Amino acid sequence: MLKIGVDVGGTNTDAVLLDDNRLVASFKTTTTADVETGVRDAITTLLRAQALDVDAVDAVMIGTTQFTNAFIERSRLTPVGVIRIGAPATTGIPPLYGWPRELLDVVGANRIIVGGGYEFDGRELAPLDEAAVAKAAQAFRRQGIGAIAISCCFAPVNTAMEHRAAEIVRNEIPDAKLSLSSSFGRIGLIERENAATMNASLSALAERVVGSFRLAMKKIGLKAPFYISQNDGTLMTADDVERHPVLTFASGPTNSMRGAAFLSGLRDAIVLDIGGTTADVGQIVNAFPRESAVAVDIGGVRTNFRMPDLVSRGLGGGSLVTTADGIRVGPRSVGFELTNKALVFGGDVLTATDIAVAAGAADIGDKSRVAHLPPSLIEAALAEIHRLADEAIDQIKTNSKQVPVVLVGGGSVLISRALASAPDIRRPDNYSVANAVGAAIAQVGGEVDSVFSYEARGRDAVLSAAKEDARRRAADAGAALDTVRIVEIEEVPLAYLPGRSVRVRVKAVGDLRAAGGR
Amino acid sequence: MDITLADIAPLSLGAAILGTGGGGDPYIGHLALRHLIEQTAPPTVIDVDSLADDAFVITVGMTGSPSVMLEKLVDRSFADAAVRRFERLVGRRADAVLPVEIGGVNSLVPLMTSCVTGLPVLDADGMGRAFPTLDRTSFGIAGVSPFPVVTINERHDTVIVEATSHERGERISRGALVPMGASGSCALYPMTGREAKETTVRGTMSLALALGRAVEAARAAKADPFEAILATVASAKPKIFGRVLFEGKITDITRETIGGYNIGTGILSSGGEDDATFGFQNELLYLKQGSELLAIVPDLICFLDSETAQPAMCETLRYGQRITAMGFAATSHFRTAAGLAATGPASFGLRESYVEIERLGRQTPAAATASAR
Repeated sequence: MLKIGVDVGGTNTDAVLLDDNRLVASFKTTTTADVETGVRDAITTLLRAQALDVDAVDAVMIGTTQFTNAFIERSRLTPVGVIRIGAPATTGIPPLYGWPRELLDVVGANRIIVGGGYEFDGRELAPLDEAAVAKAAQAFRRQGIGAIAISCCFAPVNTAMEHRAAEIVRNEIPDAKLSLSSSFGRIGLIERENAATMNASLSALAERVVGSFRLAMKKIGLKAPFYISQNDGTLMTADDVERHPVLTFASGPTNSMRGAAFLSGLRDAIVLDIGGTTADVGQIVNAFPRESAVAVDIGGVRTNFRMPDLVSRGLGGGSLVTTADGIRVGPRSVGFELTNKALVFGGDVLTATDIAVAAGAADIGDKSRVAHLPPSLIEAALAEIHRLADEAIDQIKTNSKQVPVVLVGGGSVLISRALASAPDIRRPDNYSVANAVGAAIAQVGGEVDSVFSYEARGRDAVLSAAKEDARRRAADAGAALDTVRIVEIEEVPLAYLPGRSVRVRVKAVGDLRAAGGR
Repeated sequence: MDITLADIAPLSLGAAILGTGGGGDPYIGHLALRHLIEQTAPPTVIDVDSLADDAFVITVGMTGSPSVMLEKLVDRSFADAAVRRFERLVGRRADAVLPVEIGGVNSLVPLMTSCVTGLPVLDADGMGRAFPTLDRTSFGIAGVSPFPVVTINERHDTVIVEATSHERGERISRGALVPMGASGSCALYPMTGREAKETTVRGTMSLALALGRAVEAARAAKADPFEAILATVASAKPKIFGRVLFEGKITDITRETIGGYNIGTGILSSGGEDDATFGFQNELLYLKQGSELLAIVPDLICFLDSETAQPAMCETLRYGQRITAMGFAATSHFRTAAGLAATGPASFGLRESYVEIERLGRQTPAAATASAR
């Protein structure tokens, strides 16, 4: 199976070619404003260099930070109408409460709470107030709002009211772009509703970006399917991304960690990804990133996304090295201006890259420009760089067991010594295109997350039904059924509730099946 | 004293410090209180001494599963429904309300009540910290009955419980709460002004606020937040003994959910000296270094992030976290024979005997500083 992985970053667009999970070639170019040209350029160059016909390609996988960046920059967002089903409960905190002002200026504060919702066990809390939903939809239509987010109390336990409300909205606004909170998993109404609202605000951009991907594939003449990678390292179809762009928010770090696992051949490791400004440390368990257990803020909004558990430090190739107050490295950085501001590139700013070059650990730029640095300074700065990395690695561990550390990213040349927290450090070949590799090897997943009563059905029956359901969802999403395995089972007993109510989350993943197969 | 929008963050921070690792994620309480203050008047906090002896005081709080609260949030009547129902039940208007505990979300509920009803909140609570059950209160130990307990949900389904013991009452209330939707507000521990003066832990609302402000000020000035905390408790009235117990990194943590409680143990390592071990049931119960006890319930053990002094919750403790453990003397209400029977080590099934924090531990420079104050 011949696969192409593409990483559309803020600065670079990288592409790699994989033949049956063997890396054959890679190519780097700059990201273009229209996205499409850069993607097309990267893929065609890659194919031409290998003298391959486009028809030989079985699938293209794209990783992109376009949606994350748009939300953080508050640019290219669409106004949203939010309908929450939950009264008389939930009324103490309205939708969008606590969102940053400048975000509300763009997304708007169009929100309503209507009667309805469920209890924790799926019983009706109140009947759905259908008339109120219709009235809200009419008001949104009059304001020209076509992107609608719908949330419902305990929607993860029962999705029926959200779907009924969506029907009613579609009657009033036939071309409405609907985002339902039940599409975004998990218990936690505020976070789920925020995810649905963020998703709705990205709906116009999603059409544009996915459209430009489609155009690139069409111009290349690609007939094979293309996919886009999501937060948990699995794939979505282009149609999925048009509907649920928010699910790509954490795909950047996920792809780099998955790519590091692939390039190093390790399934359990700590990954240190050092770029120009920051170093991200995460842990891969069974070749997947370990997810964060706490709520993650994105652009000032609290979310429930399946994000890798990351420790970030202001340490990168462009980090400033200062001596005024003892030796310090970062967190300020020259960032993308490294190639004209660093000493080795003829600039006048002492950066971490200069230290690595002076120490003989890297061969970048003009080495003679750092020959004057005193050995004591080089030594002190190197010690500080390694101390920062060491501390971050130690923080991400869940126990004191030694696991290998895999270095990826262009800035990883800074690490040249053993670290106390990690005696076993590896930098695999192709470490600078780990992101694109991570996209290329992405699998297809399915997840179940809901509350069950162990007393009523028994734990074994509940778990086996949930596993089967997760497997089926993975297959429905495009996985080859014989490769699907359960990668995660989480049981959270709900405190204070009798009947042994337990929140069960099961995740299944499998390899992408070749076109037509099952 | 009025509680303004600017006070909510330091108050939540201080309450989380006094929450000794439990008390629940105050995020929803924080948002709901903010929203209420924006719509109504700021809540008022008064000194217990300003109450008349025959005044009527009611304790208010939230009840149910914290996980359910993540979906149902709080409703508009959450602030006053329970206290209003209680007043109708006993045929008397309340003169003030107070929290049952100062840790976590329960410390914010009476402030919501104050926004809506205008009733003042007593600068006091029943624990001076958080505990996993509502029977471990200074008023309960002093003989004030928690009953009747009024529990009410967003539909105004109401359960009124009068039972023959705390334990039976808690079980009956929880059983009734499930068909009600497993989350609601409650009013309990009715008492007179005189009883409030004699049996509450005083000054805890202003202590929480002062602690939060001190930590925020220390952070802004790049000063030592732990020093700031010690200075705050030393100048409290009455003065509270406190010291830094241990600094280290969590190198082991195990936990499980038993009977709805988050129960576990862990190890803090500092590298140099002996490791410290700790145990928790929702809240931190004890801290030992080697075989030597550093602090034990009912004295307060607070785990704070060593860099930022942000309180660490027992639910989210994890390997690698840098912790500065601080200890504070419990209120004198809990140091009597009856107080220790309800809140001491034996009440949590621990074998250790209670020793006051003042008489424990090695003299570290931090401890010397604290006692020199």
